[in-house]
Amino acid sequence: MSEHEVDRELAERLQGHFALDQEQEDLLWARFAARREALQWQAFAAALALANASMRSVRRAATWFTGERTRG
Amino acid sequence: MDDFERFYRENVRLVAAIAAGRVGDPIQAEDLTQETFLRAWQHYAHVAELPAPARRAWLVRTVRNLATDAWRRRVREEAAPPPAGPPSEQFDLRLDVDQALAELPAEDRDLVVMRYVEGMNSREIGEALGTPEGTIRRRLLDCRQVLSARLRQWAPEGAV
Repeated sequence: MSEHEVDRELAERLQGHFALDQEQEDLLWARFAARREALQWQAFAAALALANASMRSVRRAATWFTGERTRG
Repeated sequence: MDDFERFYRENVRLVAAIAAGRVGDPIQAEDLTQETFLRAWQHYAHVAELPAPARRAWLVRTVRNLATDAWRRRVREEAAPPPAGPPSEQFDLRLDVDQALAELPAEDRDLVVMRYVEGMNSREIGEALGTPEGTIRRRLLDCRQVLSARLRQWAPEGAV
């Protein structure tokens, strides 16, 4: 078997083993897009929780400040 | 189709093949593939600015690093690696290919996948891996020797 034939045979077998057809590629993309969207929602929820926590801190500070002023 | 989807579709075959060559298990390979592209998406402002060979190099580096991390985690979780098992005559082509690749060091599996699945030449592989072209050519020769010995076993009696 010549070097060229070995290469061709290997390419054929490995491509058969690893190749993705259009349907598989579409499916992979769809799963990726879903995973990315879930990640975006997670990030959004985390940012929202952080913003809420910050708002609570601001409210607490405001309440404390107002109380001080009233007492003063 | 947006820019990122185009980027994904252009490169998913390469990344999926490297991942499959590294981990064997199709579910884990898909997980590595998707994780690689999630990282790419998170850094896309940077990745999109790179020229095509450097983008490919970025993906190859990322999937290899993730595969190494996954392998380390597996080693930590398992008391012992799963036994390789003796070769069986009942193996189908899929397992034959897996087993032949398993005989190669992990880094050489990447080369074989890039060469024979993606049809990349030694220069392109060298660019993607940051390795001199001559070194790639030599390593590919060694890989070809190992794999062609396997090929002789796969071929029907007297065909090779």
